[in-house]
Amino acid sequence: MVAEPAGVSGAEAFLSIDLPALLAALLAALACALPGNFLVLRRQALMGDAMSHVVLPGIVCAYLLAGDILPVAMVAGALGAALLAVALIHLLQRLGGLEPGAAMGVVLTLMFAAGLVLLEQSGASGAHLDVEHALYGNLEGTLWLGPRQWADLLDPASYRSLPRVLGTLALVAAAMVVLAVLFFKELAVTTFDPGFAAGLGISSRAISLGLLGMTALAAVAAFEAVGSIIVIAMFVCPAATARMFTDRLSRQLWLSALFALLAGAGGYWLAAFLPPLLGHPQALNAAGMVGVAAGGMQCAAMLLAPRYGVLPRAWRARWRRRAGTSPEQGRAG
Amino acid sequence: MVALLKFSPRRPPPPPLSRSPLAVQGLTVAYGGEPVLREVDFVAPEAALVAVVGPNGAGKSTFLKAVLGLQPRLAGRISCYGHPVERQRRLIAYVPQRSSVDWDFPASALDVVAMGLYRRIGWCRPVGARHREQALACLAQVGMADFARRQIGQLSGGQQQRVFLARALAQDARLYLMDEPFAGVDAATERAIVEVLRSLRQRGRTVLCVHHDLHTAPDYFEHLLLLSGRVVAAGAMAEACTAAALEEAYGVRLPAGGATAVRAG
Repeated sequence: MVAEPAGVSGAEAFLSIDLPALLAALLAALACALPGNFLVLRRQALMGDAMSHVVLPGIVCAYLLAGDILPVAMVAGALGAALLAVALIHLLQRLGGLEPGAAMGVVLTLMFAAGLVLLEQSGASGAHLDVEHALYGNLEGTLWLGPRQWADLLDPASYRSLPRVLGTLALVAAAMVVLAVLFFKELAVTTFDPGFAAGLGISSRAISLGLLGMTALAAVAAFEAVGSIIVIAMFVCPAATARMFTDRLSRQLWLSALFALLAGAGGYWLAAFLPPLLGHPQALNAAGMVGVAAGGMQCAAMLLAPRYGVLPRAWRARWRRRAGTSPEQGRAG
Repeated sequence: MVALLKFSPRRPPPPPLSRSPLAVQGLTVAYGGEPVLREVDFVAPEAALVAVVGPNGAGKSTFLKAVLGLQPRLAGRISCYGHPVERQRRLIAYVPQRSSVDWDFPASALDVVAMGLYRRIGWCRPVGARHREQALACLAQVGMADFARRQIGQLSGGQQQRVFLARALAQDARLYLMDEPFAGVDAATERAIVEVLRSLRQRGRTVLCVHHDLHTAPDYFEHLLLLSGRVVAAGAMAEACTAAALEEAYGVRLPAGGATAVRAG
């Protein structure tokens, strides 16, 4: 609407810089949030963190073996590392007698540290593979040098230059949605009551492995965009926030997807557009702000959610004390 | 014939599997090398209510879990309606102990009961309106229709137990294994459970129920399996539930089916 005569137009800047980064943040958040629901309910939230960290040595090894950044090799390396991590975690639990959280903590730090050392020594850092990107991702570097104005979005040709990471993320996010919908019953019953599920002919072990596979896939895809630190926020925060608003698992899944998208969009806006409005010359780290937005949303939900929020509960208790009604009446429903 | 017998004198062919709802032969189960159940033989009659009784650590829950395949067995054969139990899981419904699940799980009572229908609904298909109606009917059988939409964590212990029972009813099984359904429930729930047990027997189903209250066992059940690491007594309640058998199982003198309530829980 506003015509800018010279240089890079607002639309072009948005389309080539902000839109791809925003899409990457949204898709990464969505891909992680859906399996995150089941991880949180199974008290395995740390597994998401473990997966996002252990993929680093896998990716570095794949790069060293392939000699270049080959998407297929990267994903294979990352999944291989994830499998190795799952095996190690089980081994530590069985042989070392460690509790699951401790076993995951040991394995994720060990493998991540090994990945960092490998990365530093191998000289892989030339190709977008360096410690900083491993930690913070590369949202700002996700550029789409295709569409120059809004109308170009309708032109199929501009999609040829779509950044590869966006394609991967879209595919993985779509896969997460399909898997969560198709296997909703099976994921739910094995999470709630594994022994009962076995009686239904649903193998808890197979479903658990499938969930770990989904987690690894989401972590691998999101790793490149938002880095390993933020991924854990995407696994836990949307699910935990959604749980504050509903008592139905199906609704929790949809809400978590919504909150993930909100965190992705809100975080990116906070990083890219808020600082200039406040007179700050530089944009903030987008992946970091997405994590902050997700965390902030969860804090707000814990305080304010109508039913389970701390403040509404306190207000209701106070109101009841004043009105002198029985606590049961307020709780029912 | 003669030659066969001559050449395999030590290995007689396994006897044909019993047609009864549950036939257990030489079942031995161990936790970490320590045997919990030794050489258990037991045959459950058709359309029977069986109380599985014994002191703490007698292996009652382990017995149910071994039948279900949730606990690996060291030795023994288990058959269900004439076939190895592994192939008959669809005929068996299991009511686990209430403490075995996380009741904060985001599900309503109806959602949990609908889980009993999952096998019939099949993989990758959603729970439809017809299934929700069936689940609601099962909730009604245990007197819980009014609580269908309540989150399970907001139900009382007895109500949660009835939800589990309704879920087992939804499975429409032929053999029901229940792990302490009467533990810590209120009088209304106890009556509801007894009513369900009787209607199951009437429809020809067999129920094995881990039970702790020796006082009520003879009223609710007509068969007994008395365990204490092995089978101490088994059979019709009137014959098996003797003072001598109870003393052997519990290690103290107890009145048989007597006037004093003995809670071994």
